[in-house]
Amino acid sequence: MKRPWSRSRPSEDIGMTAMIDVVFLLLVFFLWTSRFDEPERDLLAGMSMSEAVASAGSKPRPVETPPDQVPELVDELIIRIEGQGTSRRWLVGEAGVNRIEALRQRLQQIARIGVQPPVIIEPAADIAMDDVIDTFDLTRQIGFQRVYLGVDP
Amino acid sequence: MRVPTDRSAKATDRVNMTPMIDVVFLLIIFFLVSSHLARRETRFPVSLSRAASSQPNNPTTAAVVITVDQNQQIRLGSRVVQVDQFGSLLDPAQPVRLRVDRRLTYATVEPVLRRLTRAGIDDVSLVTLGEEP
Repeated sequence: MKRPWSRSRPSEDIGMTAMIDVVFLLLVFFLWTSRFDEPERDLLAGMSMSEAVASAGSKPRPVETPPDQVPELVDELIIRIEGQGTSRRWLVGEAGVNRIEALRQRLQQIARIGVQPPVIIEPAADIAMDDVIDTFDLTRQIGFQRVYLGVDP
Repeated sequence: MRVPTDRSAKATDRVNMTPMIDVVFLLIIFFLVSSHLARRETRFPVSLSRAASSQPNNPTTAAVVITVDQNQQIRLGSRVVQVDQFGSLLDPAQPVRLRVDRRLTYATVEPVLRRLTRAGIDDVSLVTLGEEP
């Protein structure tokens, strides 16, 4: 019996060079497309300047209430951050607290009243941005929607 | 004259796919890498704060990135600028992402915020990291 003539023999050899090429390309592809650093996020921050020069969009607008309704109890809530070295002090209106947990409780009490005043955070010049962002974040987490950073004119 | 056989012509007619795939892969990787580098161009190393109420960054919005690093150097995109310069360089309609080192004091950042406010820019985001994993 005659053996069938095989033409497939040359293609059975694996081309190692081409395979290594493709493997390297895949390696480079996955290395470049994978991200090893933590993704960045955005914290929407409005600014409030206590002068008419501030743009209309960035300045908190007063809440307009129809004459037959009770006006808002608080026009705006100002949180001042003060401190020296590692100690911090937050002034919510006139009341001062020394711990961020106490500030959380104070803000929760205000939020429970049911008012939603614009909150303006006014840090002292030597306060680190970490503390500013922590306070900003805490205020937003409690449920205040309009939070602004106070900017001197 | 000897007529060339059909056999030799057939062998060269077959398209070799391997180098073509190689080239296509290289092109894909080139475009991926170049776009990736273009995105990272404005990402200077700064130590960012964490905020739980922050939103995921939307990569489709063409925001201007302002970076203030630990040495108080201000960068608009990848260009180093002075605080009094960049107010005129910004378009009020364009959103701004502010990447600020967490160790800086508010006195360093406030002039930048003041310039942004004076330029009429409303859409300002502080860039943070997400909640502690």
